[in-house]
Amino acid sequence: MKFLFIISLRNLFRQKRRNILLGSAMAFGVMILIIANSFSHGISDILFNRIVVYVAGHVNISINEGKGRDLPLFRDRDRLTKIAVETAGDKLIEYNEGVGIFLRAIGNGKVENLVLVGINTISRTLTQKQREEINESFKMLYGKFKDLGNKSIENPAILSKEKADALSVKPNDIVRVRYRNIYGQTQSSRLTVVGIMSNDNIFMQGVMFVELTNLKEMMGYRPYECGSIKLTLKEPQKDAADVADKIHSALRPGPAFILATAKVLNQDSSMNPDVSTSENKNSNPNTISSNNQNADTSPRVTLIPFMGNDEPLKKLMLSSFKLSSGNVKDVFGKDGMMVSDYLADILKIKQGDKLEFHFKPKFITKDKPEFAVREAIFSAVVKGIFISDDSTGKETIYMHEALFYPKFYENLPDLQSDSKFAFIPKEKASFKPALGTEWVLLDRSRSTDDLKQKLRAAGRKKIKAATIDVNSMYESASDVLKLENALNIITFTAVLILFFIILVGVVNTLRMTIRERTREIGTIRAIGMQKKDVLLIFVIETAILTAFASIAGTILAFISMAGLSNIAFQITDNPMGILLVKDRLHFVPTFIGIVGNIGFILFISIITAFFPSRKAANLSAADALRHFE
Amino acid sequence: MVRKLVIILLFFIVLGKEALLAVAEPTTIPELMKKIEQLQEMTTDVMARVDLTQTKTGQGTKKIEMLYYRRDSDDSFMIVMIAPEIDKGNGYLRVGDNFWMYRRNTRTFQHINRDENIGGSDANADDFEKRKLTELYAPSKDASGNEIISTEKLGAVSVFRFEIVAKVNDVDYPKKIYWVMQDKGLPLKEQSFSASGTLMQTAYYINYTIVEKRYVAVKQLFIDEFEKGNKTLVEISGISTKKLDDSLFTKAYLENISK
Amino acid sequence: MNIIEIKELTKNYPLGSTIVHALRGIDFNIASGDFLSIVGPSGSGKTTLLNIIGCIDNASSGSVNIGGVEITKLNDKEITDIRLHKIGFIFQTFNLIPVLDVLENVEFPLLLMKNRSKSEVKKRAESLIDAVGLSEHIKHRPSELSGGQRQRVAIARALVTNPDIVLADEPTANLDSATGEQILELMKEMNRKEKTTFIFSTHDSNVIKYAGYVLKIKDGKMVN
Ligand SMILES: Nc1ncnc2c1ncn2[C@@H]1O[C@H](COP(=O)(O)OP(=O)(O)O)[C@@H](O)[C@H]1O
Ligand SMILES: [Mg+2]
Repeated sequence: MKFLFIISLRNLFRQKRRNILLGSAMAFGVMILIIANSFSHGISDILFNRIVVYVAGHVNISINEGKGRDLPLFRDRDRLTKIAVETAGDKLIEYNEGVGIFLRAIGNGKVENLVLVGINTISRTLTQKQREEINESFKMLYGKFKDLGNKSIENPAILSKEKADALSVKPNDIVRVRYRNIYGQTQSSRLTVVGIMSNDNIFMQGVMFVELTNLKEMMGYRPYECGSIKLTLKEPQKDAADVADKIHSALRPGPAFILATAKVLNQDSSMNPDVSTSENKNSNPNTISSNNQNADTSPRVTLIPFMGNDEPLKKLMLSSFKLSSGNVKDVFGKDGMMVSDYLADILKIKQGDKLEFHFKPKFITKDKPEFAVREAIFSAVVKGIFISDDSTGKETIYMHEALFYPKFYENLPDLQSDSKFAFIPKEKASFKPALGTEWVLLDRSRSTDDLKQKLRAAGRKKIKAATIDVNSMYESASDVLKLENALNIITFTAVLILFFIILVGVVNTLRMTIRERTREIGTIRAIGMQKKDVLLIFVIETAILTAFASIAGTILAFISMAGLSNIAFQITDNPMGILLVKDRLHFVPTFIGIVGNIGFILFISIITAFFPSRKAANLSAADALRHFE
Repeated sequence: MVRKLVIILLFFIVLGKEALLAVAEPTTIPELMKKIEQLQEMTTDVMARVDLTQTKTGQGTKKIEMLYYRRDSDDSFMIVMIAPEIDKGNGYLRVGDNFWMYRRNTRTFQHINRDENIGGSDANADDFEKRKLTELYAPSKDASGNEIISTEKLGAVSVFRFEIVAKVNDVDYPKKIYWVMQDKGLPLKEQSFSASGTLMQTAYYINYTIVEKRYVAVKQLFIDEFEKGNKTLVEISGISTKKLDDSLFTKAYLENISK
Repeated sequence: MNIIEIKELTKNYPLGSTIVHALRGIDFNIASGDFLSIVGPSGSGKTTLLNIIGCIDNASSGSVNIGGVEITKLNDKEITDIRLHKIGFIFQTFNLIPVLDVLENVEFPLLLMKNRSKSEVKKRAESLIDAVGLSEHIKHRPSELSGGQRQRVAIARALVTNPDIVLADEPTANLDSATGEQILELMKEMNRKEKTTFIFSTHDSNVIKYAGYVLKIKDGKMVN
């Protein structure tokens, strides 16, 4: 084998000019391929790690609790982030609460539009690489990045040099901002400039940074709430879709309910002249004794929402429940509420009475003790009474989603601990599909169009529960990613060019060589070399040439890339500008990419060399020896 | 920006009943709110010309003119822009649940879902749904639980000054102060505050006219208290409450008059 | 003992629409250790016969038995192996491998045998180069040698595997007569020393005197 290699190598040097020509063509092709590949990797890197991450995240979990308008609000941040982080596992680099707002900022007599972005400076555990990246994107001209977390300053903020100039603010100046919080309320705040940075990333230039907790408070989030979440993955192209799928299935909602105590509101005699509470109590002195004792300690009930805004589900409810009083239109309509006959009995209530519910929220707002909600209270009018059975539960009250969810989300109850005491209709109950869940998980979508359509459909349904939608960048940013396909075409074209160079070059060269060496082939066959070794001699010869050419091409590619990325492009008003990094073309050669490319080229050149070589090997020795040129 | 203004504006075309009783003293905030509500209740078809004069610091003055049509039966409306030149012929049409934006230069209608944001603005098609003032706001109370209401003089006019706070999350301004004429119950001045209590906007209802026995605030001034120096003057003229033809509220008509 | 036994051997070449009858029924045996010359005019079928004996061409009919093996029945791999182990070739045009030097050219057949150690191969090749008197030129490429020197290398290469038979097709045709005679002397000497069977063809009556035994061939038939 070794001496076959030596023969091949020496043979290669016999026709220097011809092989140098072919080798140069190959090297050129390899160069183009590697440059194209590195460029498209660079673009991918920009797309996936510099654009998509900011725009959509590799995977994003978007929440909408809004009724009509967009309200990115999830009431239990820790639960959501835990699910996301645990599901993504070691594929995750970090997660961000994707909060950012457009705002109008007033500096010293100047007004500008800005994007305010929250950065978690406090509880962030960063890897060395992330730290470097942050330092890279936050080239501080003044102040320190960590000042964002300074509690003694009112809303510390860092902004880009461009925007600082535009607002004519200097460090320690106050910027007043106007924006709308998540609920759409007009809000204004004062931000203190603690840092000014220079930034090459266009996305960053219009951005002002504040500490995430400050921003969330400005936006109207309570500390335990969060908005949409964006995940940044280590290998987005490989894992994004899969992680999104897994998170999606981990986010299946449980049933929604409120475990509350119910109290009959003191009925106003003028409003209900025929029913007075005291009368009622007196006239029924011996209803179920245990309950009578509890007449003023109110019974514990489970409030269960039904999806009355969805016609088919409403029909399902209608057909599953029998009313002993109340009219169907009221009971199942907006503000509809029906109480079990059992409860109606205990509470001595009838249609039209008002009930007050008290329940414990999961989170008690500690930050503003004066508003601390230790007990959530709301009231609603009984629209009907249903005949209860085992499937409906006895101590249950069913409510229209429009009535239920605002109260449910406003003071989210602790479902996990409450579920021990609550009545939760069984899975097999006929009306189960019509009951509300903690949230509505939207189906995964396949593309941006699909996603838009889905959200529109969800909007039309007027779901009152919060919706959760899990998307990978392939759905949420598929438009951006289309660019990647365009680039792959460039690479593919380079491959094609190379393929033809190899095909034409190798086949031609080999045919000439073989013709010239016919007698030599005859000789070595006569001496006793096997066919397969003859074949190998030629294949190896081509492979060596290809390998040399590849190395040369790689070196050339690196030289060219170094040269190309030295040129600064001043593209300011062209959207293609986002594909530059620091005004320069961004090449990301990868070891795998280069080795893969070279491997691929070797493969095609060997395949191409194989056929003429086999023809040479199959020559009859006698004929070959008789051959004279 | 123009779009947003149009939307805001719609809330301030105040058409009220003349026959309202004079407000007896003392009065409560809910009563006054009810009155404002009634003023805003429209019960006729309306056609009017609306001129907006926007003044922005450093940018001078910009005049926006439009025609406004409203059909009472289903609350449909149509807006046709007259000026500035670049917006001329553009229009908006809402019929029932459908909302369209018409661009004259492309001759296209953009359908806007009620749940989608309108164009690039942060206004939502739902904004066109009128929600009653009393559904959105409740009287502010002082420490001792009394409603914050007082009598004052605004210029020469005797007014009630009262404060209200939002009952629901999704209103533009969580707090407002109104100055309302004592005799007619018409608002003369309105201040809107952000959640943090900063004054964001002051509105003056400068001039009321009676059209077909209704009060209409034909001159309104909105002062941006955040960006000092920015203000918008709204002037309404040529008000007609004649019944409007149904064919008016169609895409074809909008397209036609925009030519 | 006969190293080669040939019976009724014919060889036809298709040539366009006609058929060339290069060999028309050859029968003869060669004993081991012979120094045989096949003599005949150009086109008489000498090369064809040698090629068939040398297992690089196959017979159209008849049988060829070499060292007890009927070669007409073997496949390419087996027959290639026989060429390598039992037969050495010397060509009219020397046919050395131009990219290899003298030593490598001589080592070449041994290296094809694979299972030999490097030093063993080198020693054997050097001893043969020495035997053909080219120790001085061991590192030279064929292009740096004269025709006679090249043919000596070819002889060394043919003998290096210790073959049963060495076939030489007009080994002197491309050499001047003095050198040709030296080459034949060398072959004869090797035949004596190594007891290898030599078969060489020639159309030159001057060289016939070296033959131990002469086979005359004309128009594909033996003449006697
Ligand atoms: N490949 C071939 N195709 C056709 N005819 C051939 C071929 N090889 C040899 N011949 C013919 O066979 C005959 C014998 O040729 P050859 O053995 O080369 O003769 P010699 O070596 O005695 O000169 C000649 O007539 C020659 O033309
Ligand atoms: Mg011949």
